[in-house]
Amino acid sequence: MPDSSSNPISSSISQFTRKMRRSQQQEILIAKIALHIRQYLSIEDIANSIVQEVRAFLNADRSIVYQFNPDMTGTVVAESVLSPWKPCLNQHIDECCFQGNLGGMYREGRVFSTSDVYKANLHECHLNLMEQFQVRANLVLPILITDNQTQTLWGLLIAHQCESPRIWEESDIRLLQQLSVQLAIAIQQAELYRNLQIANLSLEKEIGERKNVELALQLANANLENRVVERTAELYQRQQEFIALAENSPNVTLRLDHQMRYLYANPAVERATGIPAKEFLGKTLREMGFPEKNVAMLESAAHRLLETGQDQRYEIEYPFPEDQSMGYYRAHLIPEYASDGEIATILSIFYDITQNKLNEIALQESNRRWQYLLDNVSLIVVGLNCGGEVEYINPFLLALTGYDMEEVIGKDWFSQFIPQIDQSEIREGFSSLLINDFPKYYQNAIVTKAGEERMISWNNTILRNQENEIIGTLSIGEDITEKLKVDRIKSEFISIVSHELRTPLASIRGALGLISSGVLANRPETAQNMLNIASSDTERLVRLVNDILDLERLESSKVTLDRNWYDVLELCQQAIETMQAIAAESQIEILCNVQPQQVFADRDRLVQTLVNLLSNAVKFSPPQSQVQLEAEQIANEIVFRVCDRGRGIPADHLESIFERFHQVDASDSRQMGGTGLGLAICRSIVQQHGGKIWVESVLSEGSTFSFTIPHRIS
Amino acid sequence: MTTKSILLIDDEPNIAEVIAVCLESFKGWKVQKANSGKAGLSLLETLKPDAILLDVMMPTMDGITVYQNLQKNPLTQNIPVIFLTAKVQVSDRERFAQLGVVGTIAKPFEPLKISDQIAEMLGW
Repeated sequence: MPDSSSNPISSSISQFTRKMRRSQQQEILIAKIALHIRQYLSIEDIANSIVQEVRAFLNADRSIVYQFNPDMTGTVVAESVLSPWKPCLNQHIDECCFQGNLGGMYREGRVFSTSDVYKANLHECHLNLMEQFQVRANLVLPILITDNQTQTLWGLLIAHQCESPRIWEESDIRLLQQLSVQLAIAIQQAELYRNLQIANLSLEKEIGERKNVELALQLANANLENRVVERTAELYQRQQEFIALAENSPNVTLRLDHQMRYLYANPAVERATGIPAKEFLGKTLREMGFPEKNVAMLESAAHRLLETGQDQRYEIEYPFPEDQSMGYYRAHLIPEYASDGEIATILSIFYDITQNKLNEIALQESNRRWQYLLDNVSLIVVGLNCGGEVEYINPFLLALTGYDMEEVIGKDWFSQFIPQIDQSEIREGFSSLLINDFPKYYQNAIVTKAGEERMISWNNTILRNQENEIIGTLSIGEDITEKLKVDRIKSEFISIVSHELRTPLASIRGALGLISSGVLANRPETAQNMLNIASSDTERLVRLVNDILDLERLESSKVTLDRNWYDVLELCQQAIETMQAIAAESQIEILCNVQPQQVFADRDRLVQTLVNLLSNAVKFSPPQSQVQLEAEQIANEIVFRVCDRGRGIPADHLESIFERFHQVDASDSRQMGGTGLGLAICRSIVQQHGGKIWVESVLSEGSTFSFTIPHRIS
Repeated sequence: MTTKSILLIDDEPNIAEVIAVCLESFKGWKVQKANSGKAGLSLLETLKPDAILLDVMMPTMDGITVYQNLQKNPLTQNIPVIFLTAKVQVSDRERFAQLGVVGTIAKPFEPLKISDQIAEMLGW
């Protein structure tokens, strides 16, 4: 084989061939690298792969990929370096030359090539950098990424020769240029891929998030559905409970619409009305035929409820179906609202208050009766608080004392009603009653508004409240003033009767005792005198007893008058005839001045009255005088008068002489043969006839006794 | 023994008569009668009886007033007085005893015992 160096053609051919081969190798390398790097989708993998390939192809000491940061600092992101040269992977490079011109020529796609950095007239900072990495020959190619017609300097593809200077061949430079282009494409693809990955990741993340949201939504939805189911069940349960409550309620429970039609009625309505609940549905109370009064009350209350939105209450009466006895109900109307806030329906509940009402009615009736009793009883009722102030006083006590209610309520009882002299003692008694519940009974006087004293017999009771605390006293009193007066009169009467009876008895017993003892056997005149005494006092005793009995019968109304129409003159003449003998004996003339007229009277009692009055007149008239009997009709009554010329009656006796045994002179009865009861009997007879009796008298001149007999008792 | 003399003051003449007969018949006492308190006091101006029987219930002047008059008079205040009365309640007897009378005889009296009762009261 010829030596190519000696033959220029052959040498050229050889050189060309070598170039071709190398070019072919480059093309293959580029294709290989391009294929290789495109297999990678990671920039790091691409960069690592290309630095390996480049260093090996160029037989360089180092090959690196340098990536710019936005501030034009940079980092070695891939390196292939032979030992012993210093690695610079991940080295951050802050190269001022780059920063100053923002990448300068590299941005324009130019290649920097130097065979010996010490001869390349490098900037000092650049040289320092070269020295730092032991670089002698340096080949730098920009990696430009085209995006939308714009080229961006991504980084640099660099080959270093460290051991010695090196002249970079044109083919090496072109190779690296092509590789930088391929690298740029690969980087762009990688970035696209990475962006796609990021976008994909983002999308996946979003999808994941959406899935999570969807899951959460599904979960929430499921929860919600569960809650709805639970809530529905709960509501249903409650509804069932409410329905059970309503269905089993003893209270009549109804629901009404605005037209007062029943939408619901519980079974209690049948117990109250006898009408099954279902018959109410869709009907009004009026359509059901309920009493108009009940219908009107319901409608009125329902309208008020619809107008005001407020609950309504009222009470009604309705008879129980089983026995038609009256039942009483308290109605309660309650508005039920729809979701729009408007009143949809009216709930009406009727509570049976019959027992309470009956108790209330009974209590009111009881109170009314007690009040009626207190208001009308002829007994004093007074209630005091613990301080002795009047809390209650009944009308009888007000009438008795002459006070008005407002004059005594709240006043101190003792200072207002008790005589000054008794106040201290009675107040002590009151205190003792509150402490010891004693004395329950006592008597004391009270003073009326007019100053009159009335004697009261009290029956006291302590009042207690519901806590059993003493809150005052309630006293019932009887006005015994008149009773005491009557007792005193009765006592005096018994005393007088006793005296009047004992006096003749003493004579009779004495006289008869003497005779029967025989001591007068030898003294017949004395004995006879004793018999006369006994006889006359016996007569006196008989008259007295008869008069007492007669008067008692008259005054106790045991005598029924036998009234008829009689001629007055005839009755007067009968009385005069009875008295004629005695009058004649006393030399008294009885004159009669009576016109014929009729009187409606008990004949015997009227004659008895006239005889009594004539007898008195005769007794007290002096001899030779006249007694006059007159009778005349005035209006609807006959007025009788008996006039005498006797000694007359003192003015202070004009009323009292009609009392029993009340004579002007007690000896009159004995001296005049009277019993002291004649005028009392006359008064009783006249009063029984509905008339009145009185006397007019002038001392030493005479007296006129008058009485009236009305034609009819009024 | 001198005969005892008694002044009997009573407005009831029949009673006075019966008592007088009793006292004269059983004891032989001399009885003078007055039919009112006033008449009795008048008699006592001259009369000096050994005792006085005095009715309580009399008109105008009752026995108690008569007795009080007797006590005021030195001439009569030492004459023993016995009340005659139809008032027989315990309260009346107590009231009479407090006045200082020798005794009280109730009407109606025991005709056979009245003289003995009086003698006993007077210590005769």
